[in-house]
Amino acid sequence: MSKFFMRRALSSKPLYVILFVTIVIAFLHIFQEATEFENDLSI
Amino acid sequence: MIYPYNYGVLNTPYQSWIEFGLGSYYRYILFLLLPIIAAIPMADMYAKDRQTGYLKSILSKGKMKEYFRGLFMSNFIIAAIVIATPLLVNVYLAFMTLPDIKPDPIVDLHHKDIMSTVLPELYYQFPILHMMFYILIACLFAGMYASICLSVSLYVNNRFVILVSAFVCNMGLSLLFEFMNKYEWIPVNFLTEHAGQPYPSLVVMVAIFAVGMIVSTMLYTIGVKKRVMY
Repeated sequence: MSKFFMRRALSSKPLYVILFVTIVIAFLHIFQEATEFENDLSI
Repeated sequence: MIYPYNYGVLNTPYQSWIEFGLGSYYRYILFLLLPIIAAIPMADMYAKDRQTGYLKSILSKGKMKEYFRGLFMSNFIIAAIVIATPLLVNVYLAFMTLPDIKPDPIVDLHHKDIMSTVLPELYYQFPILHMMFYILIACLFAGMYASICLSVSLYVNNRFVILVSAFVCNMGLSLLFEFMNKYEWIPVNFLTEHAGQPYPSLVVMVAIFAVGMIVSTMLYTIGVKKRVMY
């Protein structure tokens, strides 16, 4: 039954929407940190 | 003279990934919304099955135990995966863009940025293991929040209420802890590697996780016995 639920969850749209949003947040955070680092280097 | 190498001391992946930064809004957004993020993929599946009538067809086959056991486990695992993925992507991107310099307690002391984290020895000796440890904690708490939402779904029909139930509980408890001046008990603070509060405690983390899991499991079991079987 666990496999059945995993298959259902993996084929649902909300899972991929939320994964996309959180990965974008993770990317934006690193983009901000990397920009700060680059600015520090250019001083 | 300051060599360019030294500039990187404060911009290492260990000090710049999403769970570390003190002033990062992204960290705050991710961990504040963690209960909702964890609940969205699966926590309302039981409510959906009940509303569509799919549950009746499963129960008529006599697979009730397997259904509820599988639902609880899958919900926990999917919630853990949903929060682990962005954190791992963030760690990967941090290592791709920033210089890999191991944190040093003397440098941190010099910058008045002393680590307030659990297992600080592990952080200075094996920082990547410390990162993984915090990712694991985030996964466990995501699973716990999703379990709370799932157990609420046995008592409530409204899917919106189900999805925000753990978030509302979390906010209520956070406010209560704040009034009690117990900042280290607030999940948004202790779930992050370096949140700036004075004494994060592993015992408090384990206790809050255990209480959350026990309460959600009890609610779930009672809900299945009283509201589904009869």
